[in-house]
Amino acid sequence: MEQVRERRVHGDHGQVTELAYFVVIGLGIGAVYALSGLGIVTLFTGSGLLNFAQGDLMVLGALTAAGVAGSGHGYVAALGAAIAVTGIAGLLLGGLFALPLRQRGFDIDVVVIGTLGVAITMTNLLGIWFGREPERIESPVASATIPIGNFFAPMHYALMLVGAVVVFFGMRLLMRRTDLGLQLRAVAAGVSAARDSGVRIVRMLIVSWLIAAVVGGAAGVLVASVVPVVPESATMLGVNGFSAAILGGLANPFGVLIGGPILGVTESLSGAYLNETVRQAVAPVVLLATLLLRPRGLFASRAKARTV
Amino acid sequence: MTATALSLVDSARPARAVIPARHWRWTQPALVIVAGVLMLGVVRPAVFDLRVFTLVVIYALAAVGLNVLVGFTGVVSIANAMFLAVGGYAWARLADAYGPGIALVSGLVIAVVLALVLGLLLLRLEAYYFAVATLAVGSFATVVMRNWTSVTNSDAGIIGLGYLPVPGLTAVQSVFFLGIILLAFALYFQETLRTSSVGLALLSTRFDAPGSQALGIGIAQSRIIAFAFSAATAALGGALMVQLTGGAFPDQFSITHSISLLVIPIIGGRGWRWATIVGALVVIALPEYFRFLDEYRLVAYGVLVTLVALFVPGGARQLVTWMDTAWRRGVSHLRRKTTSTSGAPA
Repeated sequence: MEQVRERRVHGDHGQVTELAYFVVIGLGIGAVYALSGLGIVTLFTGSGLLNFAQGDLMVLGALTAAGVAGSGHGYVAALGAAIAVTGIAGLLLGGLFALPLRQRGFDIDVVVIGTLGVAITMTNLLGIWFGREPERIESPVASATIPIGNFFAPMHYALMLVGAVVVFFGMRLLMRRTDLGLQLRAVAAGVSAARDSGVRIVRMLIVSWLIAAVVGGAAGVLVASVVPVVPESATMLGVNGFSAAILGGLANPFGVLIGGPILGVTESLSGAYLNETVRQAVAPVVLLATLLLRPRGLFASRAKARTV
Repeated sequence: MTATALSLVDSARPARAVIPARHWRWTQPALVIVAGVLMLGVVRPAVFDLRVFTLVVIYALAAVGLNVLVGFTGVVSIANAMFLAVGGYAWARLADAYGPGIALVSGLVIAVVLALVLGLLLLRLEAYYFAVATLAVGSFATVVMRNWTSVTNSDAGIIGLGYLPVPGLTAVQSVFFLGIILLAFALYFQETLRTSSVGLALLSTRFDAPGSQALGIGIAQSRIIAFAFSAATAALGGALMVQLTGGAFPDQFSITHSISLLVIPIIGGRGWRWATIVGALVVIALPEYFRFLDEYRLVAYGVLVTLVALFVPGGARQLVTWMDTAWRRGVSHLRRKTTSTSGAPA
């Protein structure tokens, strides 16, 4: 997001094209949030768990890819490595979180603390393994730009949008059209009912962790071409993902696809026309405002957010 | 939900008394004060150790309210470092100008008012959504701390802060002593709450929300009370924390510290009267004495947190109960053996 400022070309130009430029940049950044949010939503719709470590999975993917790309391999190899590594992490975490479910259900505090513990572990492990220097990955479309009047938005922003849409449709296909998706949704709706209908709970939990982790890893690789990634970026990525997910409706992947860009454009515009402080505050404020005014998200699904 | 609830109330063992033991209202604070006085007068630890223990006391105090929130009502907040910050910055700004009493009380009052407002707005949400909302509040608070320069002096922080001196004690000892006294008060209040009708109402909302609602308990109201209490003890802890370090910085009140605060009652055993003391010993003191692990300390801490949450959700208390049951079973087994060999009817 820092490059937003760097790439801001000063000169004689229309205000409209400037606005359009920042909207495009915002859409790209929003696509990142949508991808982060999609990981959170995948796990939520696939197992009913809320993952506070999603940001760390993204950072894991980003740093792995940066390591592979830095040692001279191509972007595709880096992406593949990131997906493989986050996939393994997802399998491990899935196994870990599935174990206690064999006997009993989850309390909310247990899930929150459990995934927060994963976040602490991963942030520190990543710091030890990869160092705390900001890492970047050269985008495959680094030289290409999208001309908007006098401005040139990097093509990578379009790539991120495409990535978010592809992941969304892939997930939709999986959730709506396959038997696996049906079983995942059954687990999310209620563990004991799903178990009684013959769904293999443990297997489904591992699968949904795997999907969430891989989505997170791929998202992390895409992000790392725009934002330099350090292990501590995880909190920011996680909060923004939650904002996108809640804005669109936690149980609604389509909502996330819209919520992310709304958030991204708001951030980009407030960074451009107001100041950096406001830009940092956008994600938490949007998240709070959504929870206050429309806790089910903009595109209300049947999931309920209020009990009292 | 119900399965976990059952495992937590330990259905295997019959309840010893219907009314929770009231004597703990007095005995627990008394034990804490005695232990604190012994620490200062008899043990006399080295300066480094005393600093660690003071930090343990501060965190134990700050987490008492969270123990009530998580343990009694089952609501999770990841924003409580914000209340630490309120207490800390209130001390930093007001202690010199208006005296320590005003500084402590105003920090407490601001934190409680903030918690009441946030609670009114957010505690209508289902617990999951509330946890996410507090995460947002926490990150917003971090942005405020880093940018509200006129109050917090942003990242440079406010340095050269005083402490409340106790005659005959050094700086760290004074903070430790004040911490012990406040901790004793907080524990007294915790136990009073637990044995009061309000506390029983809180507990009932945790285990069966619709059922308690049917009995006429306002779930939102009782959760707001618990949330306000969590803010109050955190504000006191924050005021002590800046006295110990002598400065107030945004880094002291980050989301990481919110997580530590939340982890303390979980590791101790949410809702247990000793939870925050045990939890703070594990979360704060243990890492200090595991410095040989070097950078893997925090990794080990994270792993511990995850494992406890997943496999020992009752925390240290669950271990204590396990040992207690094993002990009782062993004793009764032995007794049966001896009676059967002596020929007397069992």
